[in-house]
Amino acid sequence: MKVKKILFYLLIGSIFLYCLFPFAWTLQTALKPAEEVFRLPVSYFPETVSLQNLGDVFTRRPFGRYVLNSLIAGGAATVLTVWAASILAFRLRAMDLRRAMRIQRWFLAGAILPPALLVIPVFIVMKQLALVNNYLSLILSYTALNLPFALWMLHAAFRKLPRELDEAAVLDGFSSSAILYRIILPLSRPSLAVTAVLVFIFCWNEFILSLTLMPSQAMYTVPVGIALLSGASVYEIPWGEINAAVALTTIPIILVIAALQRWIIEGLTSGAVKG
Amino acid sequence: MAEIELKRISKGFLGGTVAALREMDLKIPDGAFTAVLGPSGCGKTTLLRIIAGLEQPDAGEVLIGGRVANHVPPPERNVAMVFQNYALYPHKRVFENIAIGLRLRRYPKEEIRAKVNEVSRILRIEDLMERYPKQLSGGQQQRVALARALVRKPEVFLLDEPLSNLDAQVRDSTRTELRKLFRELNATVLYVTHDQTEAMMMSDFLVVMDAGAIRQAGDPIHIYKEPGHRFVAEFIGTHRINTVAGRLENGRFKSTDGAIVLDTMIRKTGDVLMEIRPEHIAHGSREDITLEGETLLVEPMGPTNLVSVRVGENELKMFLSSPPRVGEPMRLSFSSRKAYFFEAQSGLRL
Ligand SMILES: Nc1ncnc2c1ncn2[C@@H]1O[C@H](COP(=O)(O)OP(=O)(O)OP(=O)(O)O)[C@@H](O)[C@H]1O
Ligand SMILES: [Mg+2]
Repeated sequence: MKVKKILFYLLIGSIFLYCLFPFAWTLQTALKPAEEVFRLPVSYFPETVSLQNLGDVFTRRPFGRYVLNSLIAGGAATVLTVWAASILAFRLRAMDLRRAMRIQRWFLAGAILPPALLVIPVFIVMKQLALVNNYLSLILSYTALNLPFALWMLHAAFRKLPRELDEAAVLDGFSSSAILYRIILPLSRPSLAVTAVLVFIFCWNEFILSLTLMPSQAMYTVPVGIALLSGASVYEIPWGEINAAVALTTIPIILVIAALQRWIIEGLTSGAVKG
Repeated sequence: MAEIELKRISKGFLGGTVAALREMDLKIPDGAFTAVLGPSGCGKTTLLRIIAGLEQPDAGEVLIGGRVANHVPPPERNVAMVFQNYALYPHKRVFENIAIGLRLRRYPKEEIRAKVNEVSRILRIEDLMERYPKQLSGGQQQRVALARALVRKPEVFLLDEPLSNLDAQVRDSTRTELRKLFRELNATVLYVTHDQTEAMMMSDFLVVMDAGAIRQAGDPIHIYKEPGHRFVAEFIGTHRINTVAGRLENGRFKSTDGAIVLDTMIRKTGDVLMEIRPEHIAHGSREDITLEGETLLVEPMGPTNLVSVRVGENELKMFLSSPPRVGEPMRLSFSSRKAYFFEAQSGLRL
């Protein structure tokens, strides 16, 4: 019994270490002064903690601007995706299951294409729409890319709610949009939260579309900005600043998850029907 | 007010492979408290859903108050429904669950409060107003669902087994109260149940369904006394009716084993079933048909006992307050006028 427990914790602990090591490494590199980053032998804890890199990212580079760009594009795309997927999923739920699944499969087929393959056609279209260097180009393409996944998540969640709930609402005099916004969505909050977090993380990390659709430096998103951080000469790679930037980019994700934590955990749906 | 009429309503599911209702004709008088009785899966819920407009019939017409309602959307039909699984809004408190229908119809605040308080007093859920549905017992949820329907005072109430989750005591008192309440409201009520005692006790009008069709509809006492179909005779009654297979020839019934013979007024020849209710069989030879048998089983039921007696190859059940011992011989009798005859093939009354 006890041995099992110890083994369990050992296993959990090693998985934990394995997953967190890169992050810890990033963090400690970010906190080292430039000379210490390259010093041998490697030091696993910074001897002198310096906030130089963290500060430099904002003062010597427009990193704040990158974060803002990412928040606008990712945030708007997340809201738009979840909203559109809710409406679609609500329509699918009203259909009989077989037909709904057929439609949903078509959406998923669209999601199989790797984004890299889409870069050129999307760029051409955005160019023609004069949306290059415009947030809308990213918002629209992120929404299109994430819609199948979000639809899948929300359709599954909506299907779990009993049909009688809508029917009772119809008889009570709810309009069909009121049923969606005042009954279905509030009861699907955990799934909405999970979907929103995952979509946001995708947008936040997306690189290739952002690189092509937002070519001017003022419009860089965080991943592009980090990738294109360069030193004073081509021979100098500013590792300290890169790691500081990477460490900083995880913060918004953590904040989003923390904000939605309560929704993800709470299970309001129970008790809708008998049994 | 609202008389309900169904004309040749059919409804199938899964591409027609499941026939839930088959060419059903039904006319429910205005203001009648109607019980819909039938075994599980016979189409009771489907019937209510079609009247509410939640389901479109494949064929046929629904008339509410004399108007064809097929294309009237559900909220305009002025019906309220209590669902078999309650369907309360889990994220709203009890008060809100009951009040929401009035709110959406833009009633003034004080009026809503007054109405909600009134129904919750009748259904004894005043103390639960601040709770969420999942914090209630099954019976309490059921009463909240009833309150949600009652508060709007529609012309038609559709109640799908609204008392099935209450314990016997609460059930009895709620039953009586509901009955009074609906009589005052003078609303047309369709009350689905598969408890036939409840159906007999509460209704002015009884509909007996089987396999998507109506076997008989009308006054409950009449249905009890004059069942039109074998299914009705066997389904209605405090205890299952006794069935004896046999043959009818020249106005004389003879059971297959030859042990029971009686004369009838029916001039028809063929295989039939003779059925007689346990409550119509007496001890001794008081009635015109007397039989000899042997006591098989005595099941005590409080003030009385259900006694099974073997007569020939048949087993007849009857009620006796002072039963014989098992194995003892028994003399019993019944009046031939109380026996029903049904055609063996179709089950129709002769
Ligand atoms: N949505 C549906 N899809 C497929 N079949 C259905 C559907 N709804 C009902 N049925 C079928 O139609 C028939 C009638 O169902 P219904 O729910 O009306 O029965 P019921 O009399 O209310 O039964 P119970 O007393 O168990 O509630 C059943 O055979 C059922 O399986
Ligand atoms: Mg039912």
